[in-house]
Amino acid sequence: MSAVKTAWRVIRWPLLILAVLLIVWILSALARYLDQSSETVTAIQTQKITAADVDGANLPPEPDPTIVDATIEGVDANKNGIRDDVELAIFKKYPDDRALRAAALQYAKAEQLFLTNVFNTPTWKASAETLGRAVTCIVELELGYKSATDLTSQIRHLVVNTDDRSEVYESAFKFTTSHGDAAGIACDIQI
Amino acid sequence: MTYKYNKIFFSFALVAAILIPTQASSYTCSQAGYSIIFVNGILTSLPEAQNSQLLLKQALPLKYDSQNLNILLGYNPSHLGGAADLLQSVGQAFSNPVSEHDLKTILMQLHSEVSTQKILLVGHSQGAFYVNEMYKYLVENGVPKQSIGVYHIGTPASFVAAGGQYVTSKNDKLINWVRDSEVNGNVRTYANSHYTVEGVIASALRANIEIPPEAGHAESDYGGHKFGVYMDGAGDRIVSDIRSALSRLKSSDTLVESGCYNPPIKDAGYKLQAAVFSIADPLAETIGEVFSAMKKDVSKLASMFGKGGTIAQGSSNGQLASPLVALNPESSVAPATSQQTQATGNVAPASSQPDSQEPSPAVIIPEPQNTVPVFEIIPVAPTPQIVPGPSSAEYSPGFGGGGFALNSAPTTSGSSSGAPPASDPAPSTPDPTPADTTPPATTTLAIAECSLSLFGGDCVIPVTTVSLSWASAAEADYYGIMLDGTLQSTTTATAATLTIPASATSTIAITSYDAAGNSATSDNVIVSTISKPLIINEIGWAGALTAALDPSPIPDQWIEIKNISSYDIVLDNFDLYANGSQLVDLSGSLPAGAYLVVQQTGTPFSGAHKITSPFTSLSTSAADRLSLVWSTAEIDSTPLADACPSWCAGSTLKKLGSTAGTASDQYSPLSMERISDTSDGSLAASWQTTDSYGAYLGGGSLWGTPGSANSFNLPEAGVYCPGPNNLAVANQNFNPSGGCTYLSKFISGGFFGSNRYGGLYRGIVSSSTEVMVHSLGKSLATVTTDEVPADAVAGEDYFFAIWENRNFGNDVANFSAYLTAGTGSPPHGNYITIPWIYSP
Repeated sequence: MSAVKTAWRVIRWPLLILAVLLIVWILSALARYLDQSSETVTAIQTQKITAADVDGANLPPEPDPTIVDATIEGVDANKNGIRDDVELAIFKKYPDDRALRAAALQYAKAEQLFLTNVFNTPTWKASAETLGRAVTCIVELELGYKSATDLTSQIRHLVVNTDDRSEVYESAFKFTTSHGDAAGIACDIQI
Repeated sequence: MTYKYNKIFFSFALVAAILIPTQASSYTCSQAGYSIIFVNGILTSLPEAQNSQLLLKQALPLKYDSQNLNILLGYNPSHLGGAADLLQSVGQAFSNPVSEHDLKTILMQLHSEVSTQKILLVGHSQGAFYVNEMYKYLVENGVPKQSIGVYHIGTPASFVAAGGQYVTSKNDKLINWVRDSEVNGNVRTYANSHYTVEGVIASALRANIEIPPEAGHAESDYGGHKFGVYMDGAGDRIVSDIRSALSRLKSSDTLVESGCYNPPIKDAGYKLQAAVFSIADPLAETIGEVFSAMKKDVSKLASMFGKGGTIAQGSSNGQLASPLVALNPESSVAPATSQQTQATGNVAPASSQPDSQEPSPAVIIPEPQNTVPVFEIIPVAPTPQIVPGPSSAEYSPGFGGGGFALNSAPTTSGSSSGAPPASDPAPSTPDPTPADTTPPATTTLAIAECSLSLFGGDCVIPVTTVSLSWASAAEADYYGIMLDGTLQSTTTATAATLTIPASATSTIAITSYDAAGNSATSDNVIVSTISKPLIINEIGWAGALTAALDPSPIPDQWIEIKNISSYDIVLDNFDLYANGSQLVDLSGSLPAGAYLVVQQTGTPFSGAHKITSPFTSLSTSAADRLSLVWSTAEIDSTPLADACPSWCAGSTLKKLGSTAGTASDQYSPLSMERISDTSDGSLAASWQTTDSYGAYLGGGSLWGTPGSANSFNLPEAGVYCPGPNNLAVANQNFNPSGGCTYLSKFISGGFFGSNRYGGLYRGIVSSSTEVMVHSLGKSLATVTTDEVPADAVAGEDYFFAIWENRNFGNDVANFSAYLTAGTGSPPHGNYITIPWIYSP
C-alpha cells in the first residue's frame, strides 16, 4: 500500500500537467473550430454575384464533361461560387432576360453553398438566410407563385444533379435550425 | 488528497464553463411590420422544412399594408428518425402537450429573429400543435393578444388558438389517418369525433376543402398532406386566409424587456433533453430501418417486443387502420423508453454536438419532463376505449389524476372525474356512500344559425352570436358550454347564446354534469365565421338607359353584390332591403370573388350571375338606404338616406364631355360604386361615381360595370402606361413603357359621340416632333403601343395631346402644325396636352 502511495506521489504531478495540457488543447481546438465557423459564416454572408457574372463578361468555358460531376463541388473555373455547368445552363435558358438571369444565378450560388460550405448549424443558418434572400429576389420579379417555384425547383435540380450531391445536400440539412430573414437588399444586382 | 485533485479538475471545468461567452444582447421590437413564423410538421426529407418556408415566401407579397412581411422558420425537428413525431401526432391529437424541449428551442432560437410586434403563427401538420402552444406561451410572455394570430394548414389539432382559421383537405391521408385513429366509430367518415380527455374535447378539425389528389397520392402514406400539395392546390385560399389574419393584427404600446417576447429559460430539464436527443437522434438514424418499419406497420414492431401495442382496428375494410397508433406505455418500444430514460439517471454531456450554438451542459440534473404520452387503443367494437397508462405522472398536470374514457358514436363520451364547474351550481357535498363515478348521458347540441350555413355541409356563418340548444340529458344536473375546449359558463337550462370569435373557426360542445361532478361531453360542432362575405358593390339606381332625356320612371335599375370571401356562398338566406323593407329575396349561390347582378328587368347585363326580380323601384330624387341581410342580421349597407343630399354617388342622365363639332352630345346614367371591398359601406366616403370607361377597359357600359370590377375612378382626360396606377401627371417625371391608354371622356359621348385623335410628342408644345399620333376613334379609352424613341434621354421633355377631330375641316393637320412648330393656333378648344419629363 505504501508503494502505491509512493508511486501516486510520483506520477500525480505529470498526470496533472497532462490534464492541464489536455484541457488547453481542447480549448484551443474549440477556438480554431469557432474561428473557422465564423470565417465561413462571414464568407457566406458577404458573397454576392457581380454585374460581370450576370452580363456574361465572366462566363466560364464549357467544363470538361469527364470531371464536371466527378466531385461534389464540381468545376468553378471563374471562381464566382456558381458551378460552371449550372452557370452555363442558366445563360442558355435565359439569354435575353437579364433580370431573370441575375435572380437565377444568385439562387444557384446560394444552393451551391449547401454542397460546399455547410458543416454546422451557424453555416447552415447563414446559407439558409442567403437562400431566403435569393428567393426574395425572385419574388421581386413578380413571376407569380407557379413560375417562381418552377424556377427554383429547376435550378435546385441543376445544382443537386447527382446521387452524391444529393446525399451531401440532404446531410447539410441535418443542421437545420429556426431562423429569420437576412437583412438588407434582396437582389445582389439591381436590375 | 484525491478529493483535493478532484476539486482542481472541477475548478478547471468551472473556469472553462465561465469562459464560454453567454449571449446577453438586447433586441428591439417594432410596431411596424409583420412576422410570420412557419412551423413545419412531420418531415419526410431533411430539406422539407426549409423548402416549405420558401414556398410560403414565394406565395406571399413582400409587404402587407405597406409594411415589411418577414417569414421565419420555427424548426420542429424530427427526433428518433421521425418515429417520435408520428407517435406524438397521435398523442397530441388527444390534446396532449407538444414536446416542451422543441417548443422551447424554437422560442429561444427565434427570440433574436422576431423583430415585430405583430406575429402570425402558421403551423403545418404537427406544427399546428406547436403554434397553438406557442400562442399560449407568447401571450403569457409579452405579446399582446391583439398582435398575434394563428393559422393551421393540414391540421391534426382540435382547435386553432386565437380563434384562427385553418385549411385541411378531404384528401389529406395523414390527417384522415389521425382521425381514424381517434375512434372506431369515426372510420372513413371524417365527421366530428366522439370523445373527451378529462372533459376536454379532442378531435382533429374536419376537412374544409377538397384538393384534388396529386401525382403519387394513392401510393404515399402522406398523400395530400405535404405543404407543397396544399400550396399548389389551395395556394390562393391559404394566401387569402393569411392576409385576412394579418389584417386583424394590431400593434400596441406594450413593452417587453428585450425583444418582442420573453424567451424561455434554459433549465436543467431542457439541457437534459438536449443531451438525450443529441445521442438518441444519431442512433436512430443508424437503425433507421427499424423506425421506418415502425412507421409503416406499428403492429409488427409491437409484436417484435412482445408487449402491449394493441393496434386500433380502425378500418372496416380490413386494412391496417393507421401507422399512427400509440402504444402501451409498458411497451419497451424505443421512442417511449428513450424519453423515459431522461428521468432515470445522468446522461453524458452532449459533446457529440460540437456545432451547436448552445454548448451542452457539463453536469446534468434530471427532472420530470412532459413526455409524450402513449396509449393503448383496445378494439372492443363498437365501443372502443382508450385506457390510460399506469401512472398519472405520464400525463400533463391538466389531464392527470383520473384518466379518461372513450365511447364511440352515438353515445359519445363520458368522464368520471371532470373538472368542476366554473360557476353555478355549487359542487355537491361529500357523501359517505361510495362515490358516484358514473357520468351522465351526453346530449346533442344544435346551433340554430348552422341550418342557414353559407355553404353546404359545414357551418359557416357571418355572425358571431350563436343560439345553442340541446336536449336534456339523463342524470345531468347542469350543463357546461364549451368553446374551443374551454368551459365558458354553466347553466341548468337547455338553451343559451354564445359569442364566438369573428373570422375564425371555433369548436362548440355541451358538457353534461351530474351533482357528483361527473361529466360527459357532446359532439363538437365546428363553426366558422366570416364577418362580411358579401358586400353591396355597385348600385345602378339611375338605371341603364342611355338617352337624351330622363325617362319616368327610370327603367332597368340594378344592384350588384360581390362575394369578397374565398368561399362559394349560398345566397338562400340573404335578402336585400331598402329602408328596412325587403326588396329582393336572394337565392342560388355565388362563387368566391364573383359578382351577382340583381336586375329589375331582363336587360342582358354582363356577368354570369344574375337574378331578375321586378323589385320596387329605388328612389331617384332621394337616396334609399340599401342593406344586405343574412337571416335577421345586417351584413352590409349603404349610407343612411340623409347622409348625402341624394344618393352619395352616381347620377341620372349626365352629359359626358363636350363637343366642338356637330356630333350629338352623349348622355348616360351613372352608377354609384364602392371604392374598395374593405371600405365601410355605411360611409359616404366609401362610394364614387363610375368613370364610364368600363365599356372600353374590361367590362361594363357608360352607365356602370355590373358583373365586373368597379371602375378605377379615372379622370376625364389623361394617359396611363401601361396600367391605371401609372397615370401621367402634368410636369412630373414619367416613363411610358409597356404601351399607353388614352382617356378622352372630356370629348362628348361614346358610340354616337365625336371622333378623337391623340399622340405622343417629343419636346414642348409648339416646339416638338411627333413620335406617334393615332386616331382614337369614338372610344373613351384607347389602348396604344406608344413608346419613347430608342434614343430618348432621361430628363427630356415630352407631352401627350388629345383632341376632338371634327367631321369637317382639317383638325389633324392643323393640330399637328400647332403642336410641333407653333404654326397658327389650335383649330378649336376641345383638346388637352399633358407635358412630362422622361424618367426611365
